Amino acid sequence: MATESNSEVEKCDEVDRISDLPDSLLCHILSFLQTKQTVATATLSTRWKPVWTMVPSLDFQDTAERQQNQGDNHGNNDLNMMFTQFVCRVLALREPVPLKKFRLLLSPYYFIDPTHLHTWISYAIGHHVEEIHLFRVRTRSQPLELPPSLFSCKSLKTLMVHGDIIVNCPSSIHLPNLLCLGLLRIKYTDEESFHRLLTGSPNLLKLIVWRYQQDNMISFKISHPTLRLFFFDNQVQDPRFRLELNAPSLKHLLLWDRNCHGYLLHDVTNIIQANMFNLCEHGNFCNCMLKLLSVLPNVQSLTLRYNKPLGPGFYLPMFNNLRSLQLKVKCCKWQILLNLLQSAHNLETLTLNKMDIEGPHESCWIEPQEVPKCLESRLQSFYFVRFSFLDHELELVKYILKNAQVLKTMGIHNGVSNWEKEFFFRWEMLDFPRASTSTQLLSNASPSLMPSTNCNVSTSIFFNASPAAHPSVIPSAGFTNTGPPSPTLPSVAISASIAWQSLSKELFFFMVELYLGIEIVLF
Amino acid sequence: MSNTSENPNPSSSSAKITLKTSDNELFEVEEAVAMKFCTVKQYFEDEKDNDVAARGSSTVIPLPNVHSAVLARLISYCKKLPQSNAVADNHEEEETKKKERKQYGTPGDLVDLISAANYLDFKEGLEFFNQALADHIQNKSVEYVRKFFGIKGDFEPHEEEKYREEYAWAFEGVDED
Repeated sequence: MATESNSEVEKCDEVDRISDLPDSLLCHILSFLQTKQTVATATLSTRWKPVWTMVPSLDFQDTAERQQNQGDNHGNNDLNMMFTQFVCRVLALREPVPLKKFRLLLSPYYFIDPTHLHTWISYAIGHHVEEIHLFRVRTRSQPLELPPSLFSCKSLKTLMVHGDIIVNCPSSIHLPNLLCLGLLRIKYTDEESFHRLLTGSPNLLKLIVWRYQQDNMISFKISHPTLRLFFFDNQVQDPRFRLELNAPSLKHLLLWDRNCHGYLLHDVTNIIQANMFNLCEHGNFCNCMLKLLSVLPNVQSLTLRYNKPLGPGFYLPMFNNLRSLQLKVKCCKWQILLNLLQSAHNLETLTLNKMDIEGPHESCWIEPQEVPKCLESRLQSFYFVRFSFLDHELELVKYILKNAQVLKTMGIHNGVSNWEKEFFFRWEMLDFPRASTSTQLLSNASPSLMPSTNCNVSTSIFFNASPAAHPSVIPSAGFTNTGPPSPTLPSVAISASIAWQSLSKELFFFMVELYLGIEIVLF
Repeated sequence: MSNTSENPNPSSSSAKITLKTSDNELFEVEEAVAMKFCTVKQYFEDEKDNDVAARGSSTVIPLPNVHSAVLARLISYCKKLPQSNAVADNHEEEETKKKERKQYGTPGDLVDLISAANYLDFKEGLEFFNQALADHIQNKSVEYVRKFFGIKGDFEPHEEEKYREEYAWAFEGVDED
């Protein structure tokens, strides 16, 4: 194995050119690595020896395995000591150059001495740190307290605390440059701590709060003049829970909860992107959902995800600015679609994303008497994820093809592994009446076979067997998580798409596409 | 030379700036793209100040430290950058980005791109290519990194050994070569 990869490495580069780069560039390159690795680069050659001491980022991750149940405390203590000593030594030997990023990831078996944490954070603050990430994997011991000095760090732009950490804010907080604050699955000494933290960060743009089991807040009052993005994920169910949001500059709102009762949104009319996940699991959800939606008159991109059907009594306010709409629903729970189409005259992109294909199947689509306005003049793209050949699904696709006059793209992702049905559906689709004057059928697997000229006014129909192979079918605007939020930082969107098909099926479809492709050229 | 085909499409109507590489290739680049290179921007602005009325975009800006092959790649990367006015809080997939970073070939290519991006003071490019290079050696052993970049170790064996002992933690848990 070693020889194999060695030969691969030898292919790469014979002449050492990286060592000729100036220190500043080498430091920049090393800043993307964990500190333990940057320290190790000192042994590459004499040229590299001093470089790590000037790297503008420190990333300490204690991920060493520990013995769990065998009472081998000696081994564990040694590892703990090694980690502590390593961090202390690195800080002692590092050149006094500014520090941009300080990241500390602590294993659940590491019992950090608070004085060490204070010293390390003070070091970072003393070196004008801009980003601090603290992550502590869940433990059974006391949550980690943050050193008070952290709350008056003038250079800090990003602060992320994650896991078994308790926020205990001092009475005076001054974080004038903090732009991004993430409080992920942590605890608070009291509600005041949270609120002081917000008031002490007058220029905050992004706020991310994920609540988890031990979270002890009941009432959140978020009133902030500059906040642009708010991502709230609530995994704690408590009937007393309240969240009051007053954020005139807010543009992006992402809510993930089981319930929409506790939310009170004031002065959020500037929101252009709203993602609402699972907000209507209990009780009289229609009303509170409506209440939430009715305060978002300017929303341009809306994603709704829910498990219970929103009945026909669900009448929406008008969304005149809505350009992009995505429904993430369980199979046969998208009755609301027609309502949405009727209240969004300027809708350009519609995505119907079924999260499963399970029954019971009931009809979700009744052809309206009047064609919704957006179909007549606006709708350009329609995506249907996990299409499963149900009659009412077919009717919807037909209806859209027939009435959407400016439709350019129709993307359909097959949700069942029934080749035969898909094959015949493709044939049938060729005969569906279309509103666009010139229509072209494109298939993803063999676009090169398609004539690429004369498609000024054309409808492209993508029918792909596997969304994983063609992520373009699922537009990735904003958050497209289909599962619970990932433990990574929320700036990472996850487009969870499952490769349903096996390789042999891919091959089969490729041949079908080939066949179809040639047929269409002949048409 | 072959890279003329990679020059930007001249049919577009926006203002153009001509860049001249170390091997005397001429690149006609849209102003918006060229202005991403702060070195070019500075030169361009100085020129404008010196010679307001006269030539405008006909100036040729020399880039004696950049080879045409490298400039072509930087320009094509630059064009793929999202427009700055797009929603600032847009969340891109880390995986997609990582895949994208993998496309830029051998360490030698990346070193060229990094040097050029540095000379041109092209910040997004520098960030991107530096990270791409770091991706290649993420969690790899010193031996692997040496081979990967062709670095010749010039320490006395006992020196290196001593250092490894002192920082034992740093040498544990790396990926298998």
